[in-house]
Amino acid sequence: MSYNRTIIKSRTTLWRCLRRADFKVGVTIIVALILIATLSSVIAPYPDEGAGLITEAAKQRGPQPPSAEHPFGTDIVGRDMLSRVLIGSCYSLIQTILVIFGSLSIGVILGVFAGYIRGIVEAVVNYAIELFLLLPSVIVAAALSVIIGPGMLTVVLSLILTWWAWYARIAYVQSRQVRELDFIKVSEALGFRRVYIAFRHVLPNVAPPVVVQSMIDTASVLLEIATINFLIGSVSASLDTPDWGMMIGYGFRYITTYWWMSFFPGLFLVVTAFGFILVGDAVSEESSPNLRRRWRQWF
Amino acid sequence: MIRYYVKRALMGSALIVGILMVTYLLVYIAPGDPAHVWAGKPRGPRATEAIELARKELGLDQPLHIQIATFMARFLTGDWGVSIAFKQPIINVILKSFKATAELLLFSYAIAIPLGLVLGIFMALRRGSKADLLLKLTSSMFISIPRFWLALIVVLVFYFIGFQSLGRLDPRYSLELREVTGFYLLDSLLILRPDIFLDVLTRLIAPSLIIAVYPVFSIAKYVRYNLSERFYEDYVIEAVSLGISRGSVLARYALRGIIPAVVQLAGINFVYSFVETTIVELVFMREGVGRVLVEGMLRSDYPLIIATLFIVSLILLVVNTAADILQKRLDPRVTI
Repeated sequence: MSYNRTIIKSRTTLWRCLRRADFKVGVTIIVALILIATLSSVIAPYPDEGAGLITEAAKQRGPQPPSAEHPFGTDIVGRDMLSRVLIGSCYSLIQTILVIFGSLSIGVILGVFAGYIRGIVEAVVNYAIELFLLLPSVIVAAALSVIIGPGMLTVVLSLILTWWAWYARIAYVQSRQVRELDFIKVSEALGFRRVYIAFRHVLPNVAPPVVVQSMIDTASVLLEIATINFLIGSVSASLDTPDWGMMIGYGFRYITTYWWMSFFPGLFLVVTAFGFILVGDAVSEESSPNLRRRWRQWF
Repeated sequence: MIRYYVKRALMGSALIVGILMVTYLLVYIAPGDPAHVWAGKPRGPRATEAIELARKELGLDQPLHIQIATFMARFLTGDWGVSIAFKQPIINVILKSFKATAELLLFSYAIAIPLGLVLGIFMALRRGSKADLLLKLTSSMFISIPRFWLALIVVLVFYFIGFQSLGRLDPRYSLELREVTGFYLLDSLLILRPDIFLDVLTRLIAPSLIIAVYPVFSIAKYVRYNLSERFYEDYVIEAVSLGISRGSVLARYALRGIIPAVVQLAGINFVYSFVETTIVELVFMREGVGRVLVEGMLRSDYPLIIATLFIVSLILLVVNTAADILQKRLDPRVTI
């Protein structure tokens, strides 16, 4: 019963969102970005340079300001910045998706176990949530980059380590309410195993609010990923990976002479984050009845 | 109340032990060999010997629980070792850089909290109007600009108009400023030098405004939603119907109810802002935690990074606990 109700509710939330202008703008930005990311190796004028190769032509070119030939200029070793920024959209999207899915799955599973199975699991998971919420992701990333090396694994791992706890907390609170519902009690009386009930009945009822929350903070994840990449980029001696954050950080040391190296990746980052924030705001307002209702000011 | 404090203190110390364990495990169990890094990534015929020596020096040949126990004992007694990057005891490096970061962060929050409150009250009084919508869009826009990029643009603009804003202090003053507390704003006042105070202040304003962007809009958004909900509470309606002026209803009744939650929100934002501050001060070339991180990463100085990680987590723990306790003191309805 409760399962069906959640599905219907989330469907109408989606319908209400689709009528909003800000949601439409946000979705358009995100769809455009996904298109750019999938087609980037085709639409980029210099796909090899975009992926990080220093070609002969690039070596002769050197750093150049924006021109008709290179609308975003060329970087310190002469690679076309437009191609690098376009191909960089893949990296940002993949990292964001990995972090969201990684922390969602860890958070929901641990949260459900803590809320439903209780006992020692509840105490341990709650302690872990409190603990991991305290770890600052950027400094964890700095530590990991010294040990594993400054790569995508470091960025994704350090963010999953710090984000899962938020989702675990929401899933925990939610599953404490779900476990009091009748159909859970019936399943227990019928003698199903508790782990089975947790996955089959509790988890589907806990997931929707956590997924909504993850949609709301996609933009924060994107920006936090960029922040970590900025730090890594600003200490790396040479840069081949066309990640936006890394490019901004790498260009930072040349900011007064070759400003376009940091400016254009940042511009793409801002527009992408804005798209995610518009969608997140619309979803958060439409999914909670308090924020949704039409406002009449009397005070 | 006493029981609550004891509970918080116990949980806090359990978390401190946990943070130490996690930071140790994070670095020493992660893929990659710390002994290899510590020995300076040696190559050649005697490489294995050097790595073995480093392993013994780091205590990595001991069983794991003994490693963790020695690590904790050393940390809690204040023996944090020497930083490779700064060639000083780690505790000195950290104390100095944290003061620099704290100065920036506290100054920024001194601006952010009142500004966020005022903006939020303004929006709540006009919820649903054009001004409210405009402010909402502006806040979404500002939040979607990564602060390190904003800082970069500001630095660039300042460079082109020739405004000196990099660093904490004009180099010509660096010999004249005697460090009493380590907070330059205070120090310059203590030695009665208004010109240095002004210089420190002008360099402080731009980065602290950038850091304030996130807390201002986050507090404003929260106040807008919750304050406008308060206007429909019975006690507010009653106060208005009794003929009390709008201003004092707002200040004494409606606002009173949301202040405790704002305190807690500011505590949570503080956590986020701390990390942002490290990056922004890096862009403005100020000394501080951000520079410690970068130097540590450049020289593979992970004892320094571990110590930073531990101290930052500890500060966040203290701030969160303080915000929770303050919220409980301000709002008698809260039971934890």
